This record gives sequence, structure tokens and C-alpha cells, in this order.
Amino acid sequence: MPTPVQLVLGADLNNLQKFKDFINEQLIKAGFDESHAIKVELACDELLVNSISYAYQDKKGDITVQFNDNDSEFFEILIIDKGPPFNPLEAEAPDLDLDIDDRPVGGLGIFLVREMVDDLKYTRHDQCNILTLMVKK
Amino acid sequence: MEITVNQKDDFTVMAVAGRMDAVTAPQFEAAFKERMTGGANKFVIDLSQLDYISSAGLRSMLVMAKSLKSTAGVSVLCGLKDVVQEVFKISGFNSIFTICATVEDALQAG
Repeated sequence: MPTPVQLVLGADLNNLQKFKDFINEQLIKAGFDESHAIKVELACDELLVNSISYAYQDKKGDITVQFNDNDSEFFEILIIDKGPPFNPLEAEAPDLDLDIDDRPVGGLGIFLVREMVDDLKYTRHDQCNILTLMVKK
Repeated sequence: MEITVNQKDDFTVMAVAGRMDAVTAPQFEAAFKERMTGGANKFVIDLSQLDYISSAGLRSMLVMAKSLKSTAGVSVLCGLKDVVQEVFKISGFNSIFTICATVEDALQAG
């Protein structure tokens, strides 16, 4: 079984682009075309920004992005932080029919994530929040 | 991300190039606020060179739209392409913004 490829960096917005470059590189290596890769990158972006914003509050901590290519059908991307239990998938779906006055300024991130990947799971394991994105090859 | 600002008739045309995400969206908001503080109330946002937008970017667009609504101002977006166009569609933002193909169309529509 191939060893997972991963990148571990501090949960800091200054590292967001480094995470995204890594993700894009892995996707292109795996044969994804640019237009599909950018959608998966967007999904990861949303989840990474969530972790960066909420996982560690004022303390420092790391985020791990891991790629698993063990399945013949799906590519797995894991986003892992060691913050307090937090499942961003439990957020309420936004109401897309509201007009400018009524649309709240937040709430779209997870919704976009779901639209850009094939499956999305949250688990809590070993004091870590683990978000697994699954993308069809 | 690069923002270029021009005046066309009584419109402030802001062309945004590159990517709008959590890191760069504040730059757009600041540029917009600066123009609004300077008295600008009619905007065309040219996204023909924008390759990517995340929810942070959408949020900035919404903040802009809400600010302009409160001053009876106008904003028209144009040039949306590829994933940016798709994100606007998926999020329903294509129905809360006036979106045109080109800057010329946007100037007419605004």
C-alpha cells in the first residue's frame, strides 16, 4: 500500500496558499485536469480556512493535509486538526432564495465544499478533527 | 491578486485579476471601501481576469452589495468565467447580482 503523502503546516492564513499549491500539485500528478483540480482545491480551501479560523483559537497548532490513493475509484484528501471537537458539516445549509437584504454574510463555505467533491465525512479520532474528502478519479 | 481601477462615465470600474480567497478578499474590500468613502456609488466589477473565488470572496461581494443598497448605489458584475461562474451559480449569487458579459454591457445595464 502506498505511503500517504502529506503536508503539515501551522494553522495560519499565511500558509493557505502553500497548502493549496501542495493540493494542486498532487491532483495534477494524479491525472486530474486543471478545471477539476481547481474545484477540489476550492473545497479544500473552504475547509482549511475553517480549521485555521476555529481549530486553535488564540493558540498555535498544526493542520495536516494528507492524500490517500488506495482506492481504485476514489482519491481521498484528509484535513486534520487537533482542535476541540468541531464538525463543520453540521452547519445549516444556506437559503439560496433570499435576496441581498436577507442573505447572511456567512454560511456558504460547507455548501460549496459539498458541491465540489463526491463525498465528505467528518470523524473525531485521537483528539483530532478529521475531514475526509472523496473525489472520483 | 491585482485590482485596477478606472473611471468610465459616472462608473468606477474595478478590474480584479487573479484569485479571490480568504487571503486576498480583504484587499478587494479595502479597495472598494476606499472608493465608496471617496464618493463613488456606481460600480462595475470586471471579473474577466478572475480565475478563482472562494466563499470569502463571495462574502466580500455581498458586503459590497449590501453597502451599495444602503446608499441607493449600483454594482454590476461582468466577465465571469469558468469556476467563478459556477460558484456564483451554485451559491445563488447570480440571482442577487446583475451580471453581464462585458464591461460595455455592464455600463449600459447599470
